[in-house]
Amino acid sequence: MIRFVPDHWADGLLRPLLLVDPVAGLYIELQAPDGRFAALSLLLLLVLALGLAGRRRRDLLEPWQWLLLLGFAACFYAWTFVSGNGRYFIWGLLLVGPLVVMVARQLKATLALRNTVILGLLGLQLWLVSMTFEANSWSLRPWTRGPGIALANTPLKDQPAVFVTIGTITHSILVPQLHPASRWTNVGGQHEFVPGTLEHRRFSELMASPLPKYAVVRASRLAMTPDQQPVEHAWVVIRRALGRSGLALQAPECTFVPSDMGGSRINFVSGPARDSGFWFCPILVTGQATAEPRDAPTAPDLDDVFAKIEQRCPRIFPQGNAQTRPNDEGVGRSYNHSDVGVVVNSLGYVYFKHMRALNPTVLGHVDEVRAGRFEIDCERIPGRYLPPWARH
Amino acid sequence: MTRALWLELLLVTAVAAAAVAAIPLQAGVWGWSWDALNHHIYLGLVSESPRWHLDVLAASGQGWQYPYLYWPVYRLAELPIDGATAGAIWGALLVALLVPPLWLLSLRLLPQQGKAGQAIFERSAAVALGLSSVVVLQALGTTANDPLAAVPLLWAVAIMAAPQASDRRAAMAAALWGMAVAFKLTALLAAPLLLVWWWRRQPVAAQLRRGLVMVAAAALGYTLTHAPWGWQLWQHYGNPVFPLLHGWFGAEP
Repeated sequence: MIRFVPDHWADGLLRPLLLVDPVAGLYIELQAPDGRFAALSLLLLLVLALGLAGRRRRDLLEPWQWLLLLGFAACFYAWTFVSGNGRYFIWGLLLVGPLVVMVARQLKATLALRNTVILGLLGLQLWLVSMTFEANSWSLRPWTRGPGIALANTPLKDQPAVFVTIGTITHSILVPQLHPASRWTNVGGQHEFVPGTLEHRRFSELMASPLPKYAVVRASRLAMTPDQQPVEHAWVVIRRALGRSGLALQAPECTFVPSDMGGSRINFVSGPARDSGFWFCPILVTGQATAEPRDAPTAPDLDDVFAKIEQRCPRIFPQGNAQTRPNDEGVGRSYNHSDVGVVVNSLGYVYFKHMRALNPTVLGHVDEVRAGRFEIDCERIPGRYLPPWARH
Repeated sequence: MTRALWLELLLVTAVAAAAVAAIPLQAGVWGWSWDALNHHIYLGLVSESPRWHLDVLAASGQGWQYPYLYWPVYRLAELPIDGATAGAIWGALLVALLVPPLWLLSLRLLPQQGKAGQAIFERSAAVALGLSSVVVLQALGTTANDPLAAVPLLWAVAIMAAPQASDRRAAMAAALWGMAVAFKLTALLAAPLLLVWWWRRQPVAAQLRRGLVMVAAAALGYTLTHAPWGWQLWQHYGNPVFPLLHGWFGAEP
């Protein structure tokens, strides 16, 4: 995945300075401006420039301190060009603090001025943090009252069963809440049980279990009828997800179990906290998957169109990273390597869109793309981070 | 270390922990992230009660991750306390683990040059500057294992950051790095810091010996840390680092 990897070598080289940029998507999904790396780089230059006039380099810092700085710089650039994701560089984000102070106190100046520089940098960094920090930014569901993984009491907790969660989020957080001998799996999410694999065999064995079986679906109040059942469209989604795995609903109703974990962040401060939760819907095994396996080809006549784009920008659209799938607009390929999707819509127009871009970028009609008559700047994909000088 | 230094470390840690704990307390709520709902709590559960015989990818592919760092937060989530209190406890705990190696590194990088008060100011500023990051503060406010996985790496750097080199220090740093890699594979990116330690000026024979010691220590640190989980993956998939290198192990798809 190249979500935070620089698009251009200069962007990477200047990453210590660019981290001050208060935009989201630079090295983390959030806005997280960081002035410490720029401060370290500039202080180092200043110390060298001012200090070398009268002293030798080794008099500024001990040799092992120079080596530490060198090693840190190597780690920084290894991180930048391999991943660039701030969550995987927590240790580096912590270490930079002492390194900045180490260099700052080598400034050829009075003690008072050096202390002012250190305090000033700390103040500046705290200001940057205060501008953008928001508690619980990653939270999807609130934890208000305790305990954290609370599911209201239900007879479902009293006996073992097979629970099949539906959706991209597996909600395996519920597992400790039900009977410890219950068995869990997930369908319609990130993983598909492909025939011939160990997990598919285990899934089939699980479905052959004599235990009662339930689909588990997040019950958002936005998709709920007044009698706490799924709205019609939710039923369609549930049936489709189950059908793909050879499962079907056994009864026309689900059991609604209230839980904050089914709620949303909107409930954080006030409002009824118990009106969301989970549906537990009895299911049975039909043994007949209603959908074609995912590796069945979709729109093979458009393969050459996608191939043209993949050949033009292999870094953004790597071959083999995405398969053609039908979608609401036509068909498309979703490249999770770069968070970019390419669509050929029902009118025959080809466009791509990064997940953070507001609008798609049209490449042209399918015939034009097939003939290679389209333009795309592979290093400046709208939605990905652009340094200030590359913005329009 | 002198008693004054111990006291300083205690105070710096306590102040930092209180500051971080104040964030969820002020918000009045904590929250579950996508990852927490999907696999953090489940991994905490399986770290004490394996469920290979029961579940089939209950947490999808994320269920293959190293689970043991999630055990504390799983236990925390089971306590009958409100979210804000849990978030405060969790944040303070993480800070109590992260600040000591950061402070020790500051002590070594910033040897006292004048009055004691100046040295205390510099070390405290260094720690505060280290923690002053939106990404770090956000990480301290979630159930993700990134801050915990960073702890051995910080200790590795703190241990090796000293004027005097020794094979023992190098071995300890390498073992801690190996442990960090077992916790989270992204710690591999910290390898250049270890190599710097290795390159410090010394005769070729001593350099070679230190290199071998570090390789052995890193391998030991990784193996011992990964063993409990690797053994389960081996029994289940025939591959101790599943799903990585699966073709190489030639196990069942």
